[in-house]
Amino acid sequence: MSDRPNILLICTDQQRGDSLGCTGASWAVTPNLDRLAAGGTLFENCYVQNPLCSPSRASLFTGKYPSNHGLYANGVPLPKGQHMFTRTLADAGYDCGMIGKQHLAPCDTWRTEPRQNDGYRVFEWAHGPNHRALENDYHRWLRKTHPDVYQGIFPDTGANENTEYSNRARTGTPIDHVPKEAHYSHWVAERAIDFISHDRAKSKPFFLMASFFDPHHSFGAPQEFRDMIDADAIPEPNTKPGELDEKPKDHRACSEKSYSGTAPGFQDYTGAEINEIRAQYWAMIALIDYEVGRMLGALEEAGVLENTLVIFSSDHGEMLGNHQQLLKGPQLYDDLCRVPLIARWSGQIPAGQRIANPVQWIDLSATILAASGCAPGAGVQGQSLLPLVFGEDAGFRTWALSEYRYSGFHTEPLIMTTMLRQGDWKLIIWHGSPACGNTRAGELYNLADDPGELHNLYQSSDHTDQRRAMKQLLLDAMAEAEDRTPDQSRPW
Amino acid sequence: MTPPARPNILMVVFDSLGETALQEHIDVLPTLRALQSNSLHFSQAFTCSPESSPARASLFTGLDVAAHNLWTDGVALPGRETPLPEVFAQNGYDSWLVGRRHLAGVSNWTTEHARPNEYHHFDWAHGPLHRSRQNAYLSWLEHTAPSIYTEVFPRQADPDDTEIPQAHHEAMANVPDHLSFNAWVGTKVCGRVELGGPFFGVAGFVVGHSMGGGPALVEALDPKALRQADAALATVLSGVPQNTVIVVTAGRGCVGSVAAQPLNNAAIHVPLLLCAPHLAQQSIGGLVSTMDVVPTLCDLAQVRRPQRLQGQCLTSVTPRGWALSRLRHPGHPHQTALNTKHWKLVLTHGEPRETRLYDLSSDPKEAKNLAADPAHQDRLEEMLDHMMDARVALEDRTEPRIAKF
Repeated sequence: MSDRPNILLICTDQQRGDSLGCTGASWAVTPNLDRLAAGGTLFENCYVQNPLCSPSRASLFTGKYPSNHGLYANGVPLPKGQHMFTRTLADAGYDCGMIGKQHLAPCDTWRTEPRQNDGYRVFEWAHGPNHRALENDYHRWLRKTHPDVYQGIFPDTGANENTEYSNRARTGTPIDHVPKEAHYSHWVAERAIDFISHDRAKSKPFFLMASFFDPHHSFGAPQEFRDMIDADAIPEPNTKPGELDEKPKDHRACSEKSYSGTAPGFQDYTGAEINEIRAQYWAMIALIDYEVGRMLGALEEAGVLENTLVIFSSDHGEMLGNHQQLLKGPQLYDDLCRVPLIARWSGQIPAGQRIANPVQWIDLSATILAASGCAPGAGVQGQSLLPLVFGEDAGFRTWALSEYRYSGFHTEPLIMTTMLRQGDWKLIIWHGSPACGNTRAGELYNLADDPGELHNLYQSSDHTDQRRAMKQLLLDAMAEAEDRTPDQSRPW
Repeated sequence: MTPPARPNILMVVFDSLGETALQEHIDVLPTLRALQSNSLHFSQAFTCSPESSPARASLFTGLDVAAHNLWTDGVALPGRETPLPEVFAQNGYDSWLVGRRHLAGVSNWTTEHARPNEYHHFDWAHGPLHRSRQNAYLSWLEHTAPSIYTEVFPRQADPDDTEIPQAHHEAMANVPDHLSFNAWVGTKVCGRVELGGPFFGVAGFVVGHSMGGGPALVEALDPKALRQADAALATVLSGVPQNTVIVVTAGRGCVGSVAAQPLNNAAIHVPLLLCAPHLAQQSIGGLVSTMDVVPTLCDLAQVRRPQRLQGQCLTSVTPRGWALSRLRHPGHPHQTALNTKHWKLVLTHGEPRETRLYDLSSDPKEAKNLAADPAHQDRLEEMLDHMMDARVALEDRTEPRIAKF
């Protein structure tokens, strides 16, 4: 059993798939992640099953689509009886830990996230750098290591009503700009390094989730990292004149305000401010990259790098000014649904490989369980990526699905959207009655001709057959994505 | 002021009886005919599945198959669900069942168990030809008419040989009316009713041709068994107190002798009658689902609804107007059907994919597939859109949202 791999799952929050040097952002400062990709396999089309934190993470941990795990929106607790794959790992003898953000239960009003049946020995939780739960482990660490920083930024206990403080911030908040040694991202790496170097049970393989809050807004990073970014090298946001006129009507509201009107929107900013937001975004990514480098160094120093499966990914993307929008919501552009995915496992996963097949976030738990020799848990709907990595793509699904079910901030009427990607085509349905009271609408993109999703072909008379074919395919995919977990223990 | 007495609940559930089949036979079914003329009659009620167990799970939980996950026959109702009899039992009702339940697999003569708090009295019998040792009807028959029992079943049951010889089948079909399965259901139910209330009772009649002896993806109706059930129901109704809410429905539909598509409306369009002292007779043609029975009975009895619920009250909410049904049997290509007032879409998933579109107003028997007709392409797409939205409407979002994030 000693050759079972360790697993380090590095998860960031709100990081776009195209935000790394190795995924096309030549202006990004991501040498460590680029090296990680060069030493492993990069999945170019990894889609999350929901564009919001909590539903997406529930899909990661349960291996199920949001329509099946039941955590369909932020603020909904993970329903009882849903099984986390980390529990399976712990039961199989893994020493399991989670450091950083988890979000499988409501965290509004500075709520402390309750533990699940998660299998973790180590659980150092902090919903975010501005989250004022007393149990915020980052704050507990900061209080000890940088008492002046802590006191200066958080002189009082913080009012529960101020729970959307960082959502409403137009720029970085003070805690985002502290020196790197006091930063949340540094804390995640420090604690992960301590786990790898000292704390882990040496007789067991380990699973560690190092869960960064960045590059989630508020948009701010330590000056040292902002200085590394050449803002002029970052392209202008991806859009075209009149774009919102061609898109389903809710896109306009998403442009005016974010988070259903509770956070500033794209249209509240000047072009220069948007450009600075973009620069700060990549500064946060540069800091993450720096901290990832330190964690990988710790693996090497501990002599376990070779036998550790390192996975890097993110729970969803960020509009970042593209399509005249900021933050996230019901839009199912690749900006929000496509995330980075790198898997490195020395001697097992081929180095320098890039895989274009669409894969899904629910596949991560299946992959980890397969690598660790565990049987997939009941109800796990993902497919292990290992066969794909080894070139055996027969039987691997050819599509990716994403479901938004009024998952973000509340709207009237409720908004529900579904995305299907297959081949070059992408269909997005804005559901209407009887799903919700919204007006039924749609988007259809050919990603080969239009990777930026600027030209909505949904109403194009030249693409009627394609639109209808994609709808049939979506209904097939939805049927395949149903949860048929309970065993048929008898023929009838 | 004394609070009004809580109504008794009697659920009359046929194993397989289509609404169309019932109306075809209603002239020889005096009890059901009288009951229908005195009921809220939902003439367009649908089940979520043409299979017995998934459909019954919806009837008894108020959830679509997308939420309760009993996706095909042979799957047991997941433990997290609270079936309706348990809800009433928790509220002080005496709960009992006579006849069929089928919320768990019963092949190989397997005995089905009630949950600890589901039924206080459990006179379970999957059907007259189901040879579980615990088949309460067969115990009664063996005790009441040993010679007939021996004639029908000359040998011990073998769980590995569940083929019913034609001779047994015919012998059981020919037992005298007063010894028939449905007569036994009626007798037992009368006995339970006499014990007083408030009660929540289920009369599980079996009128399918297989008599509970074997699987049938589509079940044919046994008219003789239906007449016996009607006669048994007459005795039951004569003893039921005035203050009783009566529901008549079926676990699923049935087809005639001709083999039909499993998602033909014959198999998923079922009777639904709701009879209560203060409800005026009315026929309602809007499409409803059998999962709507749970909230309706809870509201009528002023019993708190279960938290996990997708059905809507039949007496206070406008009918949905559509019905989604799924066939997920492992031995059959998966299919999904959407019924609306005038149109029906049936998709066969996977390869070979098949699309069927029917105009129900001119073609109620679903004989002419219009899916390839150029004149109906817009209609077809509209039905595809509707099916997507209907699917999403039925996803499990029963966990309440308790915070913004």
